[in-house]
Amino acid sequence: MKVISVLDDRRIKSKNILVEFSILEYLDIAKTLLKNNPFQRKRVKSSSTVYSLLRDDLKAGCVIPPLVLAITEENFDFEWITDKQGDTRFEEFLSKNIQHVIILDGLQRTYNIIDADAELATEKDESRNENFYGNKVRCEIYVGIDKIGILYRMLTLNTGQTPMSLRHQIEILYSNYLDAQIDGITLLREIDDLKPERLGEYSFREIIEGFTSYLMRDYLTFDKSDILSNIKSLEKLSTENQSLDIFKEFTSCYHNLQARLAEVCQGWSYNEVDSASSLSGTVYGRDANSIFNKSQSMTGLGSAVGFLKDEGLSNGFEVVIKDIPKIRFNGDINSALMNLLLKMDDIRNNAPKIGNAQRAYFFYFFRELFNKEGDSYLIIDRAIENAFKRYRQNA
Amino acid sequence: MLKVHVSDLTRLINIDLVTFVPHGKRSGYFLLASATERALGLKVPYKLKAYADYDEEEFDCDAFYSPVYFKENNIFQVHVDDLSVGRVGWIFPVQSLVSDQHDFAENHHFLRYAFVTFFKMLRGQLWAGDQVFAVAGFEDQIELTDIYPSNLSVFSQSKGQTGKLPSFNPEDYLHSFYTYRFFWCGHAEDISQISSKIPADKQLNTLTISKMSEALNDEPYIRSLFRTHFRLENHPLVQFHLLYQIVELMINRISGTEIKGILDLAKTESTNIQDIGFRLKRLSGEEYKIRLLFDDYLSKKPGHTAALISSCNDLIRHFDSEKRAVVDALYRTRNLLVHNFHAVTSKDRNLNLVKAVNIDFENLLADILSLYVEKNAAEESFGSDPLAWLVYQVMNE
Repeated sequence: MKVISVLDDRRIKSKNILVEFSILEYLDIAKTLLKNNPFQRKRVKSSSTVYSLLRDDLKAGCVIPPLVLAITEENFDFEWITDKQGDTRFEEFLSKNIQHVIILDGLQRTYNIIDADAELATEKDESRNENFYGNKVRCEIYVGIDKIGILYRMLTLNTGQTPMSLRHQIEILYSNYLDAQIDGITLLREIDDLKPERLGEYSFREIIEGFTSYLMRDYLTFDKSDILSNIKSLEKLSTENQSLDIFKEFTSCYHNLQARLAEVCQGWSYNEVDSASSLSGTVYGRDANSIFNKSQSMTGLGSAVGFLKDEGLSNGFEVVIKDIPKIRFNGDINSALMNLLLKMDDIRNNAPKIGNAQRAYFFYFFRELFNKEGDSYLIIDRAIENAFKRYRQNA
Repeated sequence: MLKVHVSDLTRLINIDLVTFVPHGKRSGYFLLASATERALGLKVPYKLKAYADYDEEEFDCDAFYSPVYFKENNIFQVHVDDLSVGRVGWIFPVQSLVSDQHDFAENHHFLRYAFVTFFKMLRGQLWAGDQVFAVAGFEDQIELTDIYPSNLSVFSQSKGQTGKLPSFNPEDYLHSFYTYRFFWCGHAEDISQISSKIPADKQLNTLTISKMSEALNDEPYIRSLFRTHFRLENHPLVQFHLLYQIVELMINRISGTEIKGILDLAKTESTNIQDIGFRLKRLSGEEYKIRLLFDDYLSKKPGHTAALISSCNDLIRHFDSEKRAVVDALYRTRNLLVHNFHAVTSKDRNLNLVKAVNIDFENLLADILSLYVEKNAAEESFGSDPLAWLVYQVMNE
């Protein structure tokens, strides 16, 4: 391994280190880091000829474009990197922090390097062995990069034939929160077949949807991977304060909101006997938790805070979190929440796509609730009513 | 068959392997694969409760489109008018299959149909031609709505139910579907040809469909009206004329039958030549033939007559005295729109009244097309006119 050069990326406040690896050295790193992240993008299957050609080229000793990696570890002293011992020390650093390494660009090339290695084990062609194992690859490694920086770089690099959706990239990056608690919040994996039941338990997938809605300023977080929407997201990402962990902020904001809504709703629950005549079908939610602890609310909150920030009506989650304890009802709680359920009933009966329409409604609801210049600011019953007016105007 | 275009390939791949993979307790996903391209493995999530033990061979599905009932909650049972059979299936938009937010997400009757319909659509059994779609990668996760238009409706039928009828072909019911504003779709492109401004007046809960009379099987024009012409947004006057063409066509058939009856009568020795002349002259009148249609050529009295009389009178009263009988009201309306259309078109109010007439006329015509019977001309030629029959008998005496 040899460090070739170190450049300063001032845009994302990170060092970009160009390193040259032998194929064997890269194989060691690659196999380990691919095991690291369960959400790591799977290899892209393609028609058999496309990648078999690449593997043949690799065995013939071709040079491939630099692979791009990132290390989120921040404690890195760059002073010694150009020293005589710099290469060895960087190798040690890399090996020690292999758990924090992510491939930003070149995942499919990496899979093919691993495949070529496996194929050569059964071939007895000495010259191909020599061409392959004697070859080198270049890697650009971003060190000390934060997650928003990684997202930014992923999006700028990700212009290949099969781009990943922003949502998938976010899922990969923030999967470490599945194992760690954020201020008493537990994120549940869908594959564990667990459903959020208690306050503080949220579906990881739904939180990711909400956060993606914030970054994309769009309550519809389809898992589509078109370059245009990724580029639009870049504009928003470029305005984020990179010293903050906004994923953590979003999750905390949502959690605080859930807690406050449960508090101000004072244990309210839907009374089927009293209300059966007015609802035409299935009730949207039976209590505050089941009404607001849904993907529809999370995407609505994310996109609404993004909107308010872009319009200069809020500074983001930090301000919203401070506002949450002041949320209140102006009138009767039961009337207000029944009004909300009736509106959800109306949406279910008339919307061409119910889920999308519900997300749109919650986008307007949170926009109204946290818009300090609006007349629904922090008043739930007014936000319920005014959000529906806006929804109707724009539906 | 489904065919997919993967971004880095120039050829289309046939999807010929479709399997359901259960995931968790309720649902799962469908895996789309190809016998010729092993790299392909597209996942299509199924969010509703899966009834995977249902044999899709026991069901049929046909594509329809409604410019009115395309919303996710627009899920309706479809009954035939034969009470011993009852429900034959469900009609619902494709987007109801990819969401669990609608009112039927826990309805196990609907869910059985939903699962097999989803399966059959992925096997390309919705329409005769190929359904082509595009994906970025060989292992993408896609939705059913990435393959089919989300606002397309599917009429899913149980063969167990339709098998109770002597024969069942949805195309024999197009006139009935039309009154509910559902149009036959032979292909996705048909949707763009259907106007979104076709008026509707029904609050739907269930569709009850009737078969078109078999006596009209040799009338392709009627079917073509329901397949193509009525899906356009026509001017109310044009729409009335198109509808009235059905009446014209039917009374032409009646004329043929009646003339044959009169000619048979003329062959008998006791025939009075003046009587024959009288009958032929009477048959030349359009109003008389419409009366014959209503009185003699329907297996029972059609519905919607009161509604048509009412809407016709709303229009007629601005020009003439109101009519009490359906034939009078219809014929007078026809005369007004054919001979006095300048006066009718002079006010927007009148055109709105014609629109209302058209809706009731459509409903009545749907009944007539189902109830129409071709009678034995010789035996029945006096059925509508007992007095003529009496005169005939007396003269024969």
